[in-house]
Amino acid sequence: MDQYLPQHIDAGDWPELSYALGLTDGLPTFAPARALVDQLIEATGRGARDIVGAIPPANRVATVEGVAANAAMAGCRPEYMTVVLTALDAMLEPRFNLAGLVVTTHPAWPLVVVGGQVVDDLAMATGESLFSGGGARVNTAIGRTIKLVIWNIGMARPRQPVQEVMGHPGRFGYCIAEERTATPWPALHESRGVVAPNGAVTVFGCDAPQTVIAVGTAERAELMLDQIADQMRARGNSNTHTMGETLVVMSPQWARIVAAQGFTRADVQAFLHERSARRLGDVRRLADGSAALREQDRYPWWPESIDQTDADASVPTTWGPSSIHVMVAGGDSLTYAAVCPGWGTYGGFACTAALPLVRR
Amino acid sequence: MIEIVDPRGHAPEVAFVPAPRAERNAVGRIGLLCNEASTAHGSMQFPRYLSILRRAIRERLGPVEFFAQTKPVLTRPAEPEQLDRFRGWHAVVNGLGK
Repeated sequence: MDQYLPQHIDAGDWPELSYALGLTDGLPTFAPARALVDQLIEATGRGARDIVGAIPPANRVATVEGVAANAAMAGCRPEYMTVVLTALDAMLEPRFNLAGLVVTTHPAWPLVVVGGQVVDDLAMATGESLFSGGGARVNTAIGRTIKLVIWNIGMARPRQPVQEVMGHPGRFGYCIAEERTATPWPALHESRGVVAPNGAVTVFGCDAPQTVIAVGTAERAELMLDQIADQMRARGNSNTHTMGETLVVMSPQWARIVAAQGFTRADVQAFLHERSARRLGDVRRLADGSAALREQDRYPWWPESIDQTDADASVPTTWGPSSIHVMVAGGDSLTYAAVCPGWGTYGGFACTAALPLVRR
Repeated sequence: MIEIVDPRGHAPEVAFVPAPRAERNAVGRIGLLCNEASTAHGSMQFPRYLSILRRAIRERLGPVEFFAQTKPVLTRPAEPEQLDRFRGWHAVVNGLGK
């Protein structure tokens, strides 16, 4: 039974009321005032009672109005709503396994990647401070809305039932946008075969970004990519043990240097897939440090192509080259990259959805 | 005064209704659908946990035959083929893990 929420309040009472009723994760919110919520609903072109989906883990029903209420709390403007609803549609795809991703012990969270025309239309930040909103209201508000929808409608609270051991700063809001011009390659959604004249949203369940710098590589593409591969194959990464997918974000300068030396995105994916593979005996070990090769040590989720009795077998960190999602964003000043390991074989797999052709 | 909109959505229309409690000796075959295998990389305590669970069920229900299955991927729902193997069993205990 929900705690009683009065329908009418003094505006100044909202902050304390929202904390008292547990309607926020700790950050302050705006009051979901009816007038603003109605504007947000109108911008979607959908009815207030249209169902967006059941939001896990509680599987309470999110209507357009319910999403709009959380968007109002997060500071969304009406024009952001199309991206919010498209992102929710994508993460409610069964293969994304949002229910598992939200409550797992592993610190992953749905990253919202916005690409294409809508990035310009909404003046989204694509440069410095990429993973912390880039100083743009739109990036932060969209990521924050997703969090609040899962918090308030999905009822995903720490221990009740979220079991995440370490936490993830992106759980406050995890939304980035792709660089549109200073990039040598097509947008991420295009590389995934999605035609989206207005832009698209890709959601991917992943860890916090792990920084890679290109020092010591003499700006040679192979060495720079090897630096990324080395980060991808860390022993403690979920991918190293369970494969799945990984996101690699390159700063524009990094991508241009690699592209200028002849690498297409597909080349980068193939190179990273090969170089991030690790010797089985280094991945799975017994107490004495030797390779764990017994029957009871087998990982049933690894493909049959890997001989799990061979300590020298090469084990990739992703299912294949196309499971490495490569995009360009971040400040265009230095050669930095970020690796966001996925949730392994368990879920959070990238799902891409085009924004509607007719603007809501 | 402002009117505010409740951000908590709506409860599912179909409420969860637990099965009626079974009487002693009325249940003879119970399936165990486990999230993890009893292997070296799983929880060291899981085999013991299963053993205690079996004993507790037998104490409450009488002689019971068990059939354990492990999901290939613990976070995803079991495939229909795997669930079919429990067809004809009286009950299945789901979500077993460390």
